[in-house]
Amino acid sequence: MMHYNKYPEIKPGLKLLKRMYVVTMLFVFGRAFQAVSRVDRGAKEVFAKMPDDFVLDFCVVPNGPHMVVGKDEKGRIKYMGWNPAGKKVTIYMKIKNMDAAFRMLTFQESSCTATSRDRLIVDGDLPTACGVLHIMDLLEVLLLPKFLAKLGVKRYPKWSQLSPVRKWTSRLLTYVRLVA
Amino acid sequence: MQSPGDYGFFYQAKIMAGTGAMANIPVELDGFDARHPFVLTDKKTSDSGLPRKFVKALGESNTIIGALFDDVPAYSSVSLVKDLAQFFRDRGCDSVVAIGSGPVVDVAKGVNMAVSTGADVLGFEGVNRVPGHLKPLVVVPTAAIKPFDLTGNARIDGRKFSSAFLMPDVIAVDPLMVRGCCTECVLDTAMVSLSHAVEAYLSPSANPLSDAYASMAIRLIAEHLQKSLKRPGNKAASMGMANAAVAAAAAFDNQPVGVVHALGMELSLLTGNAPGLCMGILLPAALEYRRQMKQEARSELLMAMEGFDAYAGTPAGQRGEKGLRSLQLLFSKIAVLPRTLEELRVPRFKADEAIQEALKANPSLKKQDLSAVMGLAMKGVQ
Amino acid sequence: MQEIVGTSNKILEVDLSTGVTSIGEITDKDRRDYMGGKGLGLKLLYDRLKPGVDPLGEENIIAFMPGVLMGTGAPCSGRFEAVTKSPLTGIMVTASCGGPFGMALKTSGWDALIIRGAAKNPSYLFIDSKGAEIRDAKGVWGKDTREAQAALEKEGASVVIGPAGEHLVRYANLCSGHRFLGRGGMGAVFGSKNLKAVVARGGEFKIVPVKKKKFDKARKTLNRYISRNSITSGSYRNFGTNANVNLSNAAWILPVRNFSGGSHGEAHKISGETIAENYNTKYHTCKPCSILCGHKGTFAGKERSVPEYETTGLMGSNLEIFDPVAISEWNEICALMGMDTISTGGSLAWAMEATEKGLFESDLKFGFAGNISQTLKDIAYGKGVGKELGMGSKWLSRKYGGENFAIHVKGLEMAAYDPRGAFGQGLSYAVANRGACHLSTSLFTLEAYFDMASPKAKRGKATMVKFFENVYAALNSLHICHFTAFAVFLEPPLVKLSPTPVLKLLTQNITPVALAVMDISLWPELWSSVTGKRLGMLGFKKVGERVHVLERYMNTREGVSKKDDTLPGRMLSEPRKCDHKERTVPLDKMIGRYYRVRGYDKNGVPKDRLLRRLGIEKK
Repeated sequence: MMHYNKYPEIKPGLKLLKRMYVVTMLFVFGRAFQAVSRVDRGAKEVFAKMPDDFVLDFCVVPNGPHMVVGKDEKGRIKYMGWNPAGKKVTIYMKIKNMDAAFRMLTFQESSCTATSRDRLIVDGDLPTACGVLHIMDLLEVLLLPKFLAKLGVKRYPKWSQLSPVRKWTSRLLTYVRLVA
Repeated sequence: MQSPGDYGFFYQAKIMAGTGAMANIPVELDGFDARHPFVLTDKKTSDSGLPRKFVKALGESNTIIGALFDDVPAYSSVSLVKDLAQFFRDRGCDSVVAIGSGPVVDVAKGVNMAVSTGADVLGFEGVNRVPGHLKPLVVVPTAAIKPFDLTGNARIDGRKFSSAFLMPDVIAVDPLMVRGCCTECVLDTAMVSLSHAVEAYLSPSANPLSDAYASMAIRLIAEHLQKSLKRPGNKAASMGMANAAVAAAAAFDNQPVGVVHALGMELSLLTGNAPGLCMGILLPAALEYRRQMKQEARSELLMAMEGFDAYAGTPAGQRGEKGLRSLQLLFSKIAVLPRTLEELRVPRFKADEAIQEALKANPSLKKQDLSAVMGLAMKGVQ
Repeated sequence: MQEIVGTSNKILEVDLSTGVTSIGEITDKDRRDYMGGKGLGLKLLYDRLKPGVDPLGEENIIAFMPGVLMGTGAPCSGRFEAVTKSPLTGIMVTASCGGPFGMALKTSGWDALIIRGAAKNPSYLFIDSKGAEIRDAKGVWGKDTREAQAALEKEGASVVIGPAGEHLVRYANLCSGHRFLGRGGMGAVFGSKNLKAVVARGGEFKIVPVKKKKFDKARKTLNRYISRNSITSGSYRNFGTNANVNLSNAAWILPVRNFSGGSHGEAHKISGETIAENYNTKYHTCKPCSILCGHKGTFAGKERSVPEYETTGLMGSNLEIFDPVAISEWNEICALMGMDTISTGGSLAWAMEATEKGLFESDLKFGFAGNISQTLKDIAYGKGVGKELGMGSKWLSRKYGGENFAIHVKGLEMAAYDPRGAFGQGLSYAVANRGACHLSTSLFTLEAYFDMASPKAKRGKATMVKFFENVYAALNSLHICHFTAFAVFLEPPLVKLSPTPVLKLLTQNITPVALAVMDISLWPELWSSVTGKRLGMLGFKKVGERVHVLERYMNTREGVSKKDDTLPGRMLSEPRKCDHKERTVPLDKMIGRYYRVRGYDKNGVPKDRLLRRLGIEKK
């Protein structure tokens, strides 16, 4: 007979520090989504192409933090908080685990690399998801200094793609809106 | 390139490799609607702290490990499978995770058969006797993983179980787990992988898909073996070897058993030497035998061994020969590998016994081939 | 009658295939380096036997080596040694026996008999001072050991095989008188050579020691020690080795139910004490002997040998059968058929457990005595299920599974001491040269019986194992009975007068020192007084080491390495319920230390430096 007590049930522990960091980052990103959608020309274009009922739940599965962003009745992008309950989510972007989320949000891996390395699951419309990743890249470019953002994005935009004027204006305005 | 003939190919496992591969296991299990895995490993693995890394990687998930049984002995036994199956049921688990290789994976497959069907495992002995899909089985390979662990075969208490349903559903090759502990262990795995890959590649019934896996396995081994032997803990080299094992498994599982595998396994059982050592000696002998029998070597072997440049730079007629030579050169570079079975202290009568046993286990093989290869391996190939 | 002063140093070599007999000489160097008996036998085989030959093939060689002390009248010296390659384990095997054949061989003037080749027809070998003659064995082939010996009695003392040997049962033994060359399947080697018996005429020479006075002094001291020691002149003399049953039961090292338990409430029923009380036992021993451990008794109206402890343990408690009459009957059958009772018991226990677990088909059951007699005969004659049981538990478990509970090391079934109650014994089993052999160190006595070393400690065990291996290898080369060790170790004043706790403290904590000061000078004195060559205590131990390492080296030539130095899965992974703190043998932790102490490399192969130091020429 086995000695069951020798092999107890194990509940894998929490990763509190990672979790706190990811929660913070998702909060910042959520607000930044809202902010950038109001100030940046490129972001506006991307969001305009998205369906009217667009509600994104960007989360870490299975019970990690969430970031819900969607269009309100007026069609404006809005950060809807950390709780997807009761919201009609149309697209889920799930990071498979906390480690992957941490790696992604500390810019050790760009969002593209993470996708290619099978760390993201998308439930929903793929073009929309690509749009979201596009915005995320843009956000990183806007919010972070170049040396950091370079790590996080697939290709740092050239002058011709993102003029310094637009970059700095958007960066400033986004920060203002983020903090305010 | 020969034109693809008629063939079937099946390898069902979802393979996740690389940093954080283990952390994905909860999501994958969730896909099977399983949240309560039963984890098996052995003392050696447990002592090296790998299961702790596994548990840590599962953090922040809603997976609860039903039990982490770390006492799987070196022999997989039916009674242990029965006891563990009862344990599994008592804890209300719903999936099996095996961390390690050999007996751990065999026992995990056995437990899975027992708990999924509720019947006596012994009833499933033989080929294709498992009645249907089993509970999800996750294998987390360690450095000692052998390709046949990752196929639909299991060996419990000396009995062979073979069924597509026994194949692991998920294989998580995580660099945290596959770092080698010693040269012997690395050599053992590498030689088994290489034998399986080469045999699948040179098999008369090779098909494009098994070729793809086999050549990739050969490629990975050719590239990483030296480094891995020199520094068993090297991350990149270990990952290369582990990936080669997985690729070789896919190729091996879709090709008939070859001479080297059949003889190597029996010799290893009879003499207690690691299967890799036996196969590492038998494989050059088998290649030499092919040459003697004037069997044409596939020209793509050169591509697998040395890459496109060497392939393109060699006249078409000489490619097969050069590929074989390149493979033999790889062997000659391994200093720790004995060259002959005599050096390994395998007595002649044991070798004969191994031939008999191999024939019994694989009636499709020809005795004269086995004897010839064994004869060459006894004295060694220059 | 002619006299041989010291040793005759003559080797008789017989090739059964060609019928050619040749006479050789033991060199002075070999005699000094290997003394005689086991050591010299191994050396002779080392010079003659190629590695990798089939033990049951024509090329295998078997050597009989009467001890140096044989015929001199030294106490407990009536023993001879046989050396060959074992069909059960595939490596070297040595066995010792107290039957009359040894004396006859020695007094025919031979110090070694080497048999090679294989006869075409069933034959037996007749030996006298002139040489050897191969004779037709039609009349005795097929007979059991007793009938065969009776038929050959006129010609001299013999060593014979029973039907088990004829049918190549892998653990068939050789029988001489009522004593056996038990382990490793020498009977099958005889069978494979078509050799039923070897008969030696004997009585042609008288052996006299070179230094008579010194010899008499040593002999008297040893006799005094033996008659003073509580084991040799007490429990073993009165109850035989079966006196171990109660001791083992109390120390939790008695095998119960194929080694799944270490103690049993009914064990007292089969103990030496009970048997002596109920079955009218009498002495029935080797000759000459002053310990008198062998007994016979009257069981159910028939006079039979009293089973030795190993037989009682492995065919009694290990099968959960506690009936002395039944055990004595099986002992008798094994004796007549010529089978090793330890391996037989081990294989039966495996079969019972495998049957219980559904791995093997037979009608054997733990605790059921009804069909065992028949099964034993089936094994000997290779009938039905017996044919496979006769291959030994390693072969069986490889074919049918159940390797976890196949209790063998290197193929040799384990003797009746469970290593989970004595870790040092566990290490000793794992590294012993011929397999799971209890006579390689007998460390269980120190750990479990006398409380002179803590059974569950790891410290010092490697050194103890090395020391006792050397001493016992030397003893077998002398050749004198193992049990004299009780007297020689325990009776000298230093040990005798120290209280046990102090001894335990010393052996456990300063093992090398404690062992070095043990006075064992009696044995080398006996040897040097007989041969006239100088040999001190250190030299004696070095011979032991040389013999042990030579055997190990010969085994590594057959493929033995660290992978084989292990214990059955059950000992390493299944703790027993009976232990207060459930533990398995921590072999991994002890074995590396042992290799270092021994001078082996990490793989368990003797290093060149060690071989050079001991003067073993590498081949």
